[in-house]
Parts: sequence; C-alpha cells; structure tokens
Amino acid sequence: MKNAFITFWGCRGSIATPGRSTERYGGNTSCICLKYDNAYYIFDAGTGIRGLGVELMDFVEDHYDGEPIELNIFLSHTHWDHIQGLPFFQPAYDSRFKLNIYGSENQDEMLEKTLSGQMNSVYFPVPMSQLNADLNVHVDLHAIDIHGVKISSTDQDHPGGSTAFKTILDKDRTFVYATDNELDLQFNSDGTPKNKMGQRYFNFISAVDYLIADGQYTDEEYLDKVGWGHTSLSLIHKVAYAAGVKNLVIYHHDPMHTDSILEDLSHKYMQQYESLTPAMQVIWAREGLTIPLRS
Amino acid sequence: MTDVNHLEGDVRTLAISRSSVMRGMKKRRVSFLDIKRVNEQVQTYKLQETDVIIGRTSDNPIQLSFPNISRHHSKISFSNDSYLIEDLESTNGTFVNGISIAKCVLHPNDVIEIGETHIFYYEREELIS
Ligand SMILES: [Zn+2]
Ligand SMILES: [Zn+2]
Repeated sequence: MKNAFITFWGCRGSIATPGRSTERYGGNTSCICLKYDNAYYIFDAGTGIRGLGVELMDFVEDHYDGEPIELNIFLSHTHWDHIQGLPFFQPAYDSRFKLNIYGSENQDEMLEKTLSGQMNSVYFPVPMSQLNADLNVHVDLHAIDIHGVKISSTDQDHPGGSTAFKTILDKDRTFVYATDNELDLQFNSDGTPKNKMGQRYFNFISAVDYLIADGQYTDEEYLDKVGWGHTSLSLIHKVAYAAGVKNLVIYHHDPMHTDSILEDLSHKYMQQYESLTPAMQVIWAREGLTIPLRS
Repeated sequence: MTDVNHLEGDVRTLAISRSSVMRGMKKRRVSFLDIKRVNEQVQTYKLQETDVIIGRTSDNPIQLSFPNISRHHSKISFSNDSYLIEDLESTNGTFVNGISIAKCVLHPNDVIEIGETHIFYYEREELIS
C-alpha cells in the first residue's frame, strides 16, 4: 500500500485570523493537500495555499526532472476564503508545474472568469495571463479519474452552492472533503436525513475512512446563523457517527473561536465519541498537521 | 482639572533613551522537551536548531531503549522558526495529543507519545547577551 498523507495548510473559515489567540489552530483559510504516489490533490485555495506553494517551490528545486509536476486543485466553491490564496501560490507562476483546477460551474459566473476576476488590476497587481504554469480549468466533475485515483462529488447546501469531493485511493481507502455545508437544513436533530439532499450526503459519506467536515458553529451559535451555510457541531458528529465514518476531522473553524475555545470544544466531542462502541476518532484540524491516510 | 502628568516630582517619566532601555533585552525563544516515563524522573532536553532523532538505538540523540520504539522512530527539526516532529515510518507510530501523525508543527503544551513515553513540548523566553 502506497503512503498517502493529508496536510492541513489552512483550517479557518470565512476570513484569515492571524494573532496570538489563534496560533495553535492557525489563522489561514481553507486548504488541505493529499500527497499520494507523487501526485498532489489540493482541496481549496484559501490563504493556506501560500505555504504549500513555498514548500512545493523547495521541492521542485531538488526534484524537477523535466516532467511537469502535476497539481490537481479542487475548489468547493469560489467564496473568498476558498480562493484567496491562489494569486499568491508560487507554482502557478512557474512553468515546471501543471495546474488542473476542478470546480463546479457557478450559477451565474464561469469558474475561470471568477478566478481571473480576483486577479483584475483593481484587486491584484499581476494579471492571470502571467501565470506561467500549464493551467487547465475543468468544470465537468463527472467521474474524475487521475492516475487511478477516483474523485466523485455532490452538491451541498450553501449560499451560492458548494461541492463536496470524495477521493478513493487504492485498497478502497476513502476520504471526503465537505466544507461549507449547512447540514442543519438537511438533517433532523438526531442525525437522520430529512430531505433528498441530506440522504444523498449521508450515502456519500457512508463508512468513509476520513471525513473533513464543516463544524463552524457551536449549537448555541447556530441558532443565530440559520441560513449562513454552515453546520452546528453536535449535528455533524451525530451524522458522521450514524453514517459509520471512522475518523471525523472538524474543519473551517469560526474566526471568533480562539485556541482555548477550540481546545475545550475538541475535548468535549473527542471524549464523547471516542468512548462509544464502535468508537469514532475525532480530530480538530490544525494548521501544520499531516496525518497518514489509513483505512 | 489637574493634569497629573505635569505634577512636580512625578517619577513616572524618566529621561532615558529607548535604546538604553532595550540594551541587554534581546530575547530568544527556546524550546524544551520534558521526557517522562511511568515511575521515572523527568528528563529535560533543550532543543537546538539541528535535527534530533528519537529512537531505540544508541546513535540517537534522544535514546529510548524500549521494545515498542523503532530504531529511528521520530525526528524533530527546526524549520521556518518552528519545531516540527516527523514520524520516521515507525512500527507503532508517533502521536501528538493522541493523534497518529506523519508530521506536525509543535506548539507549547503539545504532548508527544512514542511507545509508552510521554514527551511534553514547551517554550521559554531567554535573555541573550
Ligand atoms: Zn468558507
Ligand atoms: Zn462559503
């Protein structure tokens, strides 16, 4: 079995939150990278992708052999906290890299237009035309197969829409990246689906090894944030447990949640779900963490 | 209303330059590991900027000669102003705060578990001359 590693480069939701109170979990917005069999599968391009870019530039200096290094970037949607790091991603300016960007067609804007929009001279000094990497934008998310790695997707409930991705590696190792999704509108409080979208999501995450999921709000906070497109913590735990998820990774932390708040919340849910039979491991994503993907 | 800052004899304002205040105040963050095994004294290890390998055999700067520790089990390195722990594909894994990791940037109060040994990571500010 080949090694597969997931690194968290940014775990914050909505807006970057640097500062002493967030240094443990990190302030960069959404970006994770799966490294598997010398290929890279990057999920979201929030401010965290800048750090990944720095590491990839070090890597290319030592390992470039004339063949472009392939980076596959999957965008859950184009809200700022998921694309803002892309103009600062150094490999995009370097012809030794090949970038495949996958994302769902937005209702009113083309994905490519949205990405180049944030590089309009009003916002950013360098135009998209100066991206020297071989760059391809794919909006057809049907049955993606990249060197035998299969990636499927499903729609989520989020203002403007968002996409969850399921990755299947060798030996049926699976993980789902599903952020910016308001499960509270799709599930009953006991974790059972209450509409078709909920049922689809439930099937999508069933028995996966790792689920990286939106857990932005506490149950109390959610009451004031109905319709904002994010999930309450107790519910994501119940849904994941009911679906037989083996490892739940809580992600897209609220900008108001300091390290000590996240620490208290993580202890509470970890204890609760790791003492059950069967147990579900609960991990709170933090910047700078790399976990091995095992089934 | 009296402006207290201008009262005669106010000792809170000193005629002293900023550079003289800062002289001798250069500080550096120093990182330590407290290594703890059941029924044994804590051993403290001060980290430098060179890589530190933790493992069972005597060629490791931190030697833990116990059966469930791999020969070269984990590595701690200094990069980007932070310490990073990496599992060296050990048989029984390296854990940070109870999670099996491949790599992890360390923060104060992280607890590393290697076999039955607990290693506490912490930082301190030290004056340098
Ligand atoms: Zn978001
Ligand atoms: Zn969003």
